[in-house]
Amino acid sequence: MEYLIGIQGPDFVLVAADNVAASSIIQMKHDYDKMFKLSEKILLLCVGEAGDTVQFAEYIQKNVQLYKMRNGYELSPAAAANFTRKNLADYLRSRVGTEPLRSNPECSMIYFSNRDSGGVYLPKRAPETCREQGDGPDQIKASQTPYHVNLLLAGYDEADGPGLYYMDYLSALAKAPFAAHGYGAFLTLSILDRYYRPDLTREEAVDLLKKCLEELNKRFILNLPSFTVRLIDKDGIHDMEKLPVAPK
Amino acid sequence: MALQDVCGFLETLDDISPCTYLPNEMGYMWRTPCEFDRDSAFHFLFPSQQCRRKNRAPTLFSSAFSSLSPHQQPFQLSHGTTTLGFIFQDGVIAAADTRASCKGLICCPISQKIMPIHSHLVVNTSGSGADCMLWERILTREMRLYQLRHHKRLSVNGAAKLLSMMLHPFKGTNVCVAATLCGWDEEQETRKTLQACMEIADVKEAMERDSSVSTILDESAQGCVKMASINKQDENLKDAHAMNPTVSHQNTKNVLSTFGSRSGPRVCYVCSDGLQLKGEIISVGSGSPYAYAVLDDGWRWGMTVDEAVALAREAVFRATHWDAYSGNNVDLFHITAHGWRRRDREDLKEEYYRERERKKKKIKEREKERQKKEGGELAEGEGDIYSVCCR
Repeated sequence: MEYLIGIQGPDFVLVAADNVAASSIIQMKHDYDKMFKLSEKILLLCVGEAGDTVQFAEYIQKNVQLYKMRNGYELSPAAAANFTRKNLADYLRSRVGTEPLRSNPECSMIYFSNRDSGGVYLPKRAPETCREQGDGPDQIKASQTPYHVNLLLAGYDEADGPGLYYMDYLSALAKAPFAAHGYGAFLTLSILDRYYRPDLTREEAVDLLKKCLEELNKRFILNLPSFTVRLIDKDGIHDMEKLPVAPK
Repeated sequence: MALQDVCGFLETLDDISPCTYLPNEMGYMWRTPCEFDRDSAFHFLFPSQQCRRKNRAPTLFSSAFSSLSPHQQPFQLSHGTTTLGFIFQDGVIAAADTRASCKGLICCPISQKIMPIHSHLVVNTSGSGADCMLWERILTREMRLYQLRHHKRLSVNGAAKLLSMMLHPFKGTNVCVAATLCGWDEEQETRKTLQACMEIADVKEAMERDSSVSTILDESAQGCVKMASINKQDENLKDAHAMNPTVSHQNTKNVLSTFGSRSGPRVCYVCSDGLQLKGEIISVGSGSPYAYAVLDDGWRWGMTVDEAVALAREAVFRATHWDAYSGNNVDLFHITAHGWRRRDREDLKEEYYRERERKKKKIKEREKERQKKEGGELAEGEGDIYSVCCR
């Protein structure tokens, strides 16, 4: 349903994401931004399950910023990508310990009160159901808390130049010259294959992006009216014009 | 709850180690304070299933099934309701129907789905009734604690983030809450931005000096300019405000609160599966597509209050007409910088009959007009005097 695309040039990375936030059949928002700024020259594009995207992306974002605060310099895109991958992989097989069935099985919440920052409510067996598909809620097993998110990480490094990293929800990481996520990827990867060259100029990259979006408009069953487009180069992150122009 | 915490009645704890409960006659849940020992967390106490069966009060809300029932849910808990919230130039409108359904049965035709959290925030809830009641209370509690600790009210976006974070551990369980937070943020700006505003306003100050303060409600440079013109008193009031946050001059608050995008009307949607959205028009529930159709057609930022109320009523009315799980009455809240105001609950059954009458009347009128037109054309050809008189 959602679509992400990234194209790497010789000294820049161009990324785009659709702007739709949907809830079952309704488009609840037409101008939703799926890009998270990790640092001055790194963007994280995140799609997937509803709450997981924001939760995971913000977690990575804050940790990258914390690194900068602690050490005085920013993480490189490669380091940030690998850090993200490690976290995603850790959560993939994380286990909240199976607690023995207590004498009060119906008590559903534990509350931890903290005077400074407010309380936290936690489910006692959290979460009860395994979120992987196919498991019924009545199976009491070791619970896992994987984040179902697909990511693109794009950045510019002073030493290594531009980098585009593709990561899927099983935390497979690959550095790629171009990449896409979502059903739209099926339609556009072959276009990228045909017309991509490592020495694209910025205008050519935007044209290639437009070609991909035209194909989506033509053949994709869902209506994705507008896309946020951003370009990262040695001067930082630049917002570009939204493509195509969103209808009123 | 809140008072216990603030007084430090029970100490906080680090680990989740299970505590051994001493059985008493009610089962295992009701504990007196002295039984809490140092190594048990402050447990949220819920009556157990057994207890509920003993003294069974009929639950009016759709959650006849507890959210942590160990057996398979016989049906998917859908959000059987229509709630909506939207912002416009004069505040926020929150509207909802009043039907609480449980599968095919109307459990309660007069439930209240819009709950005020504090003077400037209401929440529309849909989903499982019991979960919504609980999380409303939890949100109220946490917001009150925030206000007491930090001497300022949490913004609507902040409240949405807080609720979203609190619901996150329950993702994957059967907790089903979809809440729309509708409220008015008060200004939080620093003196620096006031200063900047003054500089911008200097050029236009002469023109704007005479304009009245109390009618300001737009977020453009106009608002900034008008604020600058009474800046002197604001500076003094800001100090007073910092020292005594509950006391604030209503007028200045009104003016200041619409400055820039840090304050003003807000609508935020929070869902238990993690989705969190800010927007201008939000509608949730099984009747929401019908409501969206009406809202998208009629919404403009510059609507008057009457127009907005009429739009919200119409949207809920149409949704209740088509959706089986929405109906009965419509509740409407209007939130401005002064707080929330509640419109009387209205029975939509009457509206349906009124609409029928209106349509009949309109058809008759149109028929009359058509006849007059035809009659008039004939008469014109003959130059009859009557055609001039008849209108």
